[in-house]
Amino acid sequence: MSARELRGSSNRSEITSSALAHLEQHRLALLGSITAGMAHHLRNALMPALLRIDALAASTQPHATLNADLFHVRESLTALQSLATGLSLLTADPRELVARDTTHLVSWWHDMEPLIHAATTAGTRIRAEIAQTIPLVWVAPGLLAQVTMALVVNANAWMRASPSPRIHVTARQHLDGVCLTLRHAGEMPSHGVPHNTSDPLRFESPIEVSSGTRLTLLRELLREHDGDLTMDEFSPSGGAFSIRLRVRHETRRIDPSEVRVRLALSNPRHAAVARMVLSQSGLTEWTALEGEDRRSEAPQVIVCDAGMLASIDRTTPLPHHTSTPRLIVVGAPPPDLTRRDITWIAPTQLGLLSEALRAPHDDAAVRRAN
Amino acid sequence: MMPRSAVPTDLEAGSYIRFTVLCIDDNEALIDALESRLSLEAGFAGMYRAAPLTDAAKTAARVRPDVVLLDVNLPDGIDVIQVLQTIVQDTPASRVIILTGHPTGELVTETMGLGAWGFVSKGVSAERLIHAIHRVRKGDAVIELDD
Repeated sequence: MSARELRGSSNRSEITSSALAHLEQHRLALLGSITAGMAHHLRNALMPALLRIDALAASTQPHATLNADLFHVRESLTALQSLATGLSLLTADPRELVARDTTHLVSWWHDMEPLIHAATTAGTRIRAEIAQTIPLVWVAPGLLAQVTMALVVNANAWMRASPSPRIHVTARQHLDGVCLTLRHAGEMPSHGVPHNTSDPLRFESPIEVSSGTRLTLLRELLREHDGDLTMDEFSPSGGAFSIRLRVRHETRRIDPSEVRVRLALSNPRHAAVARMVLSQSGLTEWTALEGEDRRSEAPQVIVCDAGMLASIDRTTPLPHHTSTPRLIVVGAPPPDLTRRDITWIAPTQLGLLSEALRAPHDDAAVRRAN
Repeated sequence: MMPRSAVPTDLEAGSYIRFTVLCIDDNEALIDALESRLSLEAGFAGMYRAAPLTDAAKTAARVRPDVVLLDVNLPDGIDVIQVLQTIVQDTPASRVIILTGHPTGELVTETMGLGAWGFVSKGVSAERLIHAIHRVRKGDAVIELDD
């Protein structure tokens, strides 16, 4: 082969390599879209089947064999529904405002386990110990699913040489949070991986399999939820990923002991959404207590309807006092109301309630909510 | 003899107030199964279907169902938010439950803020869907997300 032919061959090889990389990205994107679509279609197919099973079970006379059969059919369909939920979690956009921002680890694992089995080499032993008593953790189930799956994929790659590949998942309460640990029998390709994972500059590095770069991104996403990700290496082989998560009622963003929110919304639809937003923010609704506690525990924020403001002074703000509750009103301000100490939130934008609660003394946040 | 209910509802015992449901969904299998399941519920008086789906809001105005189940992903570019707003405005006595296989916080706040009474993920159990229909009938607002 001449030098010219060799150069040509080399160029073609480079072009092919680049094209292959693009093809691979497109293929993965396509797989993601198909997975999300599959989850959607599975749900559409399973809901009617489950309704039919319920109808059949209720409309027939009790019969031991039939009831046992129906029970097992329902179990199978429920497992498929769980699989569909798991696929949805894996394809959820972590930047999207999710409807559920807390995770119950037991049911979450139930949805994730079949997918983790599917993502690991045949013969990998997977075991989990998650107690029913583990409290709700403050992280979207989709984000946690994607972080966990990335860890499993790394661990699986590192366990290729292991004679007994295994993953052991545990959840333990630790200090003021929960630690979800994935122990594996793999050997890291480089001792630099744990360091890389904690290096924010790794964002700029090329993404390579098992390099830890993707873990860096996931770690940052976890940190946005006041969580964290650490890695440990054991001798002679094996390691552990530890995901630290905040318990729902002990979030750093809003301390329930400091912010007591009373919902005085007569509109049940607004109240339901407001409760969901409070839950996402790690808060529960404040209710009046009886006896001694009632005097010491007053709400600091009242969320109410516009109709409840009918009798208030429309121009003069209340004198600032630590015991004066802030008012957040769901609705549109009347034109003659000029008070600036009230935060207004449109019913269709109740998601802003979280932001308004998070920065109660931040005028900018209040203006945005207005 | 009244049909046995597979799911205990929170309606008071002996309360057989008739109710109808309009299901706006292109999934015929779901509508058929829901009708079959709801027929076991005390007071269920019929399932309406929107045909064509582009006339869903008009169908609601004509039949005035107690509960409307509205799927978020409708074919032919139907604007579900527009359908919801029209039903809320023209048929305020009908309470809308949003059904979706892809629940997001933004969708919950937007649709509930526009007048939906319920928001149910298709990932929940059949029991919870039936329960949500009863609760919305009673005047509760319901948000049922994935387990």
